[in-house]
Amino acid sequence: MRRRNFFQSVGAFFAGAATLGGSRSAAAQTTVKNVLITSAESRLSGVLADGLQDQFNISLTSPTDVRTSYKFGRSDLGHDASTNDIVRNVDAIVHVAAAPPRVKGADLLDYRTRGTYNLLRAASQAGVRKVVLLSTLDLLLGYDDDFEVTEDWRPLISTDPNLLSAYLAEFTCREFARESKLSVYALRLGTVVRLDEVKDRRFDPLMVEERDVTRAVSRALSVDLVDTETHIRRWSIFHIQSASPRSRFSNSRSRGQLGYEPQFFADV
Amino acid sequence: MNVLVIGANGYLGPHVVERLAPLHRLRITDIKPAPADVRKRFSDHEFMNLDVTSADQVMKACDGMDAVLNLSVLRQHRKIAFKVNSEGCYNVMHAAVKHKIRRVINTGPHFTITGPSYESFDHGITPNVPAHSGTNIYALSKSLGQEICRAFSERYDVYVLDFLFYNFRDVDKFKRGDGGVPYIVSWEDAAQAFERGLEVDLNTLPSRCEIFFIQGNNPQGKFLNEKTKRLLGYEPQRDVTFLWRKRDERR
Repeated sequence: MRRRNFFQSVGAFFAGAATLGGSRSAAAQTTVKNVLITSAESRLSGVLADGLQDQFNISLTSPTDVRTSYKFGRSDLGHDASTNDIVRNVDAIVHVAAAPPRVKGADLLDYRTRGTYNLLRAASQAGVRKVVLLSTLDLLLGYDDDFEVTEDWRPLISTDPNLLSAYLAEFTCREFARESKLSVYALRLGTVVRLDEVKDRRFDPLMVEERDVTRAVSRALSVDLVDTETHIRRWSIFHIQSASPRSRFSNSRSRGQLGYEPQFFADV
Repeated sequence: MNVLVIGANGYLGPHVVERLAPLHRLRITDIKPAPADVRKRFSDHEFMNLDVTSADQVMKACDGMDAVLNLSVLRQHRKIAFKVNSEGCYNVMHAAVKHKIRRVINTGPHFTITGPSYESFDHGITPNVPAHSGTNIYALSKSLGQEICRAFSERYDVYVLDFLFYNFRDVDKFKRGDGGVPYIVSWEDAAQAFERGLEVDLNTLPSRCEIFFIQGNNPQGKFLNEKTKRLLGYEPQRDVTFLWRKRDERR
C-alpha cells in the first residue's frame, strides 16, 4: 500500500500551511475540550471565558475567590494540592498570567515565574496537552518601528518588573515545552482594548480588540501544529494584532498557521 | 577593592573568603551568622547577616562596595528557590546599579545554561550557547536569575560575570580512578576564579554579561573552560585528570 504523505496524514489543514525556518509546518484540528483559564479576577479572563464557552468546557482559577457562573477553583499557583486540583481532567490551559493588583514590583517576578512553574509542573504531571500563554508585544518595542519584527526576533528584555516577568514567564514555559509533553503556544498580545471604550480615541497601532484576542486563543486551542510526521511542535510564538494595516506588528504567522482572522480596526 | 560576599557560609563561600581575604576588604554576609572561629580568623574584615531575598538588606549591604560576589543558592525548595535564585538576583542587580557598582560575579550550576538537552547529547559545550536549563527547579530558577542579570547589564553600566560550576572536589581525598561527572573543579581553583574575576579589566570583556565554566582541566572534552582561561587568565592548579585514569590493577 502506498504510504500517505505527511500532509495527508495529519488530518484537516489550513490552506496556509506555512514554511517556517526552512521546515514545513502544518496544523491539524485538536480534540481539546476542557479548558482552564487562569487569572479569573482579570477582565480579559472573563471575556475569554464568555467567548470560548460555546466551543469548550471552561473552568476558571485565581488566587482570590471570584463570583462566576463557570466552574471555579481557587489557587495561588503554589506547590500544593490546589494547583493539582485545578488541572485535573483539563486538556488545555489558557495562562493569562495577569498579576492581581496587589502584586507589584519585584513580587511580580515571583508571581509570574514561580506561579507559572508550579502550574506547568502540575499540568505536565496531570497529562494536560497544551498551554496557551498570553504574553505581550511590549517585549519587542525596543526595536525601531520601521523594522518588520516577527516572532523570530529576540525579545529586548527590560529591567521593569512587569515586562521582565512577562519575559521570564515565556522562558519558563519554553523550558517545559522543551522537556515535557506540553505544547506551549505563546500569544504576544498588543494593547488589549474594548472597541466601545476606545472608539473616540486615536488609533494606536498596538491595539487589539479583546474579541480578536478571543479569536486568537480559540484558534490556538483548536489546532495542533506539527513539524514532521512524528513531531508535534512544542513551542510556538505568535503575534496577535488587530486587522488594521497600520498595526505595529504583523499577524502573518498567526493568520497562516493558526487561521487567526482579526475583525476589528480593519479600516483604520 | 571593597567586596561584598553574599552567601559566604555555604559550601563555596569559605574557600572564596580564604582566597580573597589577603587581597581585598571583604564584607562577609550570609543569612546565617558566621561561626565564631571564622569571625575570629577574619577579624579584620566586616561581617553582616544578609537575606538576599530582602531588597532593603541587599541595598544596605552594597553601600560602599566596589564589587559583589553573589554565592547565594537555594536548590530544591519550591517556593524559596525562586525567591533566592531569581528574585535575589534582581535585588543584587538593582542595588548594584543604585550604588554604581560595576562588577558583579554571579554564580550557579552548569545547568543554568546547559541543561539535559546539552549535557545528554553534546560534547565541546561552551558557555556561549542559548540557555536550555530544563525544568529542574534549581536549574530553571538560577537560569531566570541569570536572565535578570543580563537584563540589567544590557540596560546599565554594570558587568556581570556568571561563574557556573558542577562538582567541587577536595582532590586530596580522592584517588586514581574514582571518576565523577565530566566537570569537576578543586575548591582551590574554584576560589582562584573569583580572584581572576576581580582582577580582570572589564573593558577587555566582549560584553557586559559573560558566562564562564569554572572547572579543572577535565579530559573528556564535554564542557570547555577555554573561555575562562582566555578572558580571565584562569589556569587550574590542581590536577583532576587522575580521577579518570585506570586504577593500578587495570594498567
